[in-house]
Amino acid sequence: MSDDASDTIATTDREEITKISSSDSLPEDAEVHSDSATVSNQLAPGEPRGDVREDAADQGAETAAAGHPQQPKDAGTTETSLNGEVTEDTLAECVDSVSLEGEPGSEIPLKEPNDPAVDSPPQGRGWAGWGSWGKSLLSSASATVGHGLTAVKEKAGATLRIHSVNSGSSEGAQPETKNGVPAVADVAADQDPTGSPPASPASGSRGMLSALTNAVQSTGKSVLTGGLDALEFIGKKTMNVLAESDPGFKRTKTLMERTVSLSQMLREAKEKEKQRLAQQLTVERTAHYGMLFDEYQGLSHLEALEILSNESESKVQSFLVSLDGEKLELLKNDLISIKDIFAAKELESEENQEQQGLEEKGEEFASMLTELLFELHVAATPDKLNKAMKKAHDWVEEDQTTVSVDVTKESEEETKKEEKEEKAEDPQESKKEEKGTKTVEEVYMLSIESLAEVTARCIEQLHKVAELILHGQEEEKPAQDQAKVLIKLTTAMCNEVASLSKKFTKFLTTVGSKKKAEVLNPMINSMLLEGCNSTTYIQDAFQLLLPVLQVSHIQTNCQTPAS
Amino acid sequence: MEAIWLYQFRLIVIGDSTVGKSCLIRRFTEGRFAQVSDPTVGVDFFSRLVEIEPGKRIKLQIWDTAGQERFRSITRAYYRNSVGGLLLFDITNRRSFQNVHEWLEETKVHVQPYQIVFVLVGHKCDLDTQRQVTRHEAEKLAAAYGMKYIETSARDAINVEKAFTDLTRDIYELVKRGEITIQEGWEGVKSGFVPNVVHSSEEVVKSERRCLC
Repeated sequence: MSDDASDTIATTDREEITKISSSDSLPEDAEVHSDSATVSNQLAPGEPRGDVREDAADQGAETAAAGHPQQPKDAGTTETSLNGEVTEDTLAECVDSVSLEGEPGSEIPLKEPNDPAVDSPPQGRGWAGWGSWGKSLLSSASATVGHGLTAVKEKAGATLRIHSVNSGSSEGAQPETKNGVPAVADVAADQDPTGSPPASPASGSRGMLSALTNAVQSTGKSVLTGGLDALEFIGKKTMNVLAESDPGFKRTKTLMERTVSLSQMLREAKEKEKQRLAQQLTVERTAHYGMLFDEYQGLSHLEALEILSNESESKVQSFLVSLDGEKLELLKNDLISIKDIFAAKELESEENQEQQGLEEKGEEFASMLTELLFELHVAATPDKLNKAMKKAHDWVEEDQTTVSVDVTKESEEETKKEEKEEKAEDPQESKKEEKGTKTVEEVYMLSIESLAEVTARCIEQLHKVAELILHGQEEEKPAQDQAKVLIKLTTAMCNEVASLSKKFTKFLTTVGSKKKAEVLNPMINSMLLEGCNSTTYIQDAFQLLLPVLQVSHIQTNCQTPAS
Repeated sequence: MEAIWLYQFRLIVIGDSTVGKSCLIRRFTEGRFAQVSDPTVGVDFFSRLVEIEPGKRIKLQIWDTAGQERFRSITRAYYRNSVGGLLLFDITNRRSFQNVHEWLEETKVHVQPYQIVFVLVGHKCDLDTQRQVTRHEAEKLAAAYGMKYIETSARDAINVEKAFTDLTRDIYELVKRGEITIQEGWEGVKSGFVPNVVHSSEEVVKSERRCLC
């Protein structure tokens, strides 16, 4: 970060950033800000659970997010001025610029750092990070809570569109990002901003966007990437909020920002948090879908599948470039026909979802799965997925038989804790022991965990299929045919996950019948929500298979596999 | 579930097929040894927490790659997002040792612009009677590439912990010294995570107010 950035706020930025990750630079700052704005913006109105963050903090996030990118510019003119009034102006300007998301006006603050007129200091990596932004979000979701708010997805799409335009025009994205960018731009444009949550339009999940949307969805409530960095930003935003709501505080704030290390405060907070968590293991166990999904390696498989998909996409592109005339037309038609299969059938499958498979048993699903994989002509085994599915069905069914007897029984805190520890090691075993004595909370947690596991296994299955389609086929099957089978496979998975989540919800309702609505409803809501998200994950993963099939098609039909 | 960790390191495990990559990882993450194991398809994932100092936990995200040639083009894509790697050969299989050069050359090409800290692992050291690669020559090779060398056995659980934790420590030192930094768009190293962000931000507000007075 160059020195001319040292205005009131940037100074603290710099200090803190170097403390935590010395490689951070200002544009990345800005990225994170705007991304949090996207998220928090959505969260504020719709958040069903009250425990998220204070509204004020949300607003602050917006303010800071929109305002931040401008500040380097203002700082350039006021340069190291300690004058409170100047700072006030700066802040006021920030507030003005908060026209925010969805409106075209929001493009202005977001684009600002790219404006050549702005001498925003560190141009080292520029906006090249956009592709990776999605990726880091993806993995950060690993550690976060899965209160997916699907609205966030659309927002992310919109934001990404803005940025993909930017990064498209700026040079030097990493190889992967380059490939991703056209697709993303496409996708974002295609996406209906008012679309209903689980619907992922045909092209709506290729490339970075899918990862991004997934990540954002599962990140939901907890906002941002990696730990301390994120906390810092939130903290800074909180400061801005304080300033905004309390004009007298402004001057103090600017002074304070120079003297108090936010990261220090945050570290303390983190320590406290740690201690608190250690004492409240039980509470903390409460069903973090995103974390569990990651624990079952769902995110990793999704990421790997996405890498595969991006690479395939670029292979397809480069092969297309190498062709011309009739050959090109023919191949294009083929590729489009594969794409059409992906697009059309999926919508259909969603309609069917309601009718089909509500009462489908795990075993039926298992045999269907095996059959479909066989039909695909890939040597993928569904063992892991089947096992997870069986496990999920089994615990509910076992419990359903016993639970009616002692619905109201609350197990004591101690046994709860013990069970928790056991579960971490071997979930299956402990489940058998605690037969029929589950509390609502436990049922809820188990449901979420099962859902996360099954979904992760579905993603894994699709990932394996993709790998085998590319590299493991002994006997080739036309890609169009494979596409059709894959749709059936995906549909079966989604139906199964949907019915599982319904089953869990039903069970939850039974167990919690004596509970107050305030206690039970949030659980049921988030159960349904995560069920919805699960199918979206699977459908998104399925869409990532399109380029894979297209490459496979090229490899079999055009003999010269683009390497 | 243990959610609190200082860093997450992504490690990649490579080497010829049948040298025992998956078995080594399973021993490390699940504490088990499977007599029979299917060849890995593409890539698989495992994770485990490692406590390198009291209270300092590191989450290892381990990418288990297929050794088979046909999956090579897939696994190549994964090098660049790894911070560390275990390069395995089978001490009873001379060929797998000779291929170590090749593996290193390949990673060098694909890891750019980042770097991977590798450790060379001579696996199946329980089968000493069938040994085809001496410890000495393996150490020499490792030294030539600036790697550490360690001999392990997944079956008898020899040095499995050590192989992973030593590598983790080495990386941690590099991170601490700033020679490896967390970078946007690079998955090799991620900083830790505090599970309840909500709570923390409230804490922050309080601290700020307190500081103000």
